[in-house]
Amino acid sequence: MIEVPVVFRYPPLKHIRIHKLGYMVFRDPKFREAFMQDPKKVMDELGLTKEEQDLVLSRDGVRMYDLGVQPYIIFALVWQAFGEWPSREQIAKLGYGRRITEKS
Amino acid sequence: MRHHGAAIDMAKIVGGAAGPHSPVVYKLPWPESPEYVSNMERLRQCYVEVGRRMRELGADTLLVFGADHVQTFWFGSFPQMMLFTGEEADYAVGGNKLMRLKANPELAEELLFGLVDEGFDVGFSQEIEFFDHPFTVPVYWILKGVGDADVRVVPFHVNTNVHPRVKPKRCYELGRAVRRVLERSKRADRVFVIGTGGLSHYPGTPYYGTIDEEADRYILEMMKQGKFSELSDVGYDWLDATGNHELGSWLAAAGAVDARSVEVMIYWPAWNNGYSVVWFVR
Repeated sequence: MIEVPVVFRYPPLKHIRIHKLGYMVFRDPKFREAFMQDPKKVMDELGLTKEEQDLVLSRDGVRMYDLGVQPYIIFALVWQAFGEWPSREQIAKLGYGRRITEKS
Repeated sequence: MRHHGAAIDMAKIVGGAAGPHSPVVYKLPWPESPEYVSNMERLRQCYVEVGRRMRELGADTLLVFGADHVQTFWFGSFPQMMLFTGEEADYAVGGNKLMRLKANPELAEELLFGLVDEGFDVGFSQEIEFFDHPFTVPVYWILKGVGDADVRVVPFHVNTNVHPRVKPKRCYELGRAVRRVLERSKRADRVFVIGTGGLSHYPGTPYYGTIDEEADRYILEMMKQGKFSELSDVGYDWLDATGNHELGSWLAAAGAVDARSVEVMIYWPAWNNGYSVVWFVR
């Protein structure tokens, strides 16, 4: 049996603004367009804090995961928000492909 | 093609299948090796074949168990189970609408009432902005195999992707309850059931780009041996660790079909996803 914490986790309430942004990005092509044009304006409108905005703009999906952001929202924020997909090259570049290695 | 002859005096589940719903299966968004491209085409053709068989079975309704990925529903109101009881719905990938399909409100209503009677407190939706890839992608390819037959599509959201989630055992039991309700029905619908998602993959996590072939093969082997109930004893700790968190929709479909085994139409361990399409054998 492999020991890992819940991966597809409950969305922590403190991330509600980030989650709302990801939801909108994930579902709405026009919203994605607006975000790509002016991410700061869109994030200001949704009330994201400076820290949250920096996290989104960093596109650091590994850090988002470690901070507790819901994975499907991370997918939207790291890839869809920037019109990209997690190809082999992209995931290598962004430090994905972490292995679940701890076996008990 | 309708099956005439034998008197049809009850709704019937005529068959079922399960397979992936990744947007990548709809359209490859990045350049890939010729091997990847040809395997993907092989996978899509399995869905087309499912559609052909569905047509041969005379199915008129496609019931789709899938899990919304926070696109149709938001954390403002996130249901564990939601049955679509409206007239018709739009189907999209990433919010880009591809198809508008008729549903089967009369049958869905009967199913809703029946399931609540059975102790499954399923929510309903009569109007939805759209369903996304967990529903769109398999339906898109299956309908290519169905061709011009008039098929109605009924989406059934079962949450397997945002914790706390519907347990695999409960998913399997839900499928079995769906079967009981339809067997009691006086309606003439011929229902084909699919479960969408899986097998191993870790979208949006740092584990993306790995799969768990051993776990996938274990799941397929258990299904081949007809051990659906035993398989549904697994918990989300194991499912998350192996990237098989979407197994619940497969189990719901298996329960509805009353499957005794599976025909593995394809298992392809790609770098980003253990892709499989199975046909439920009765």
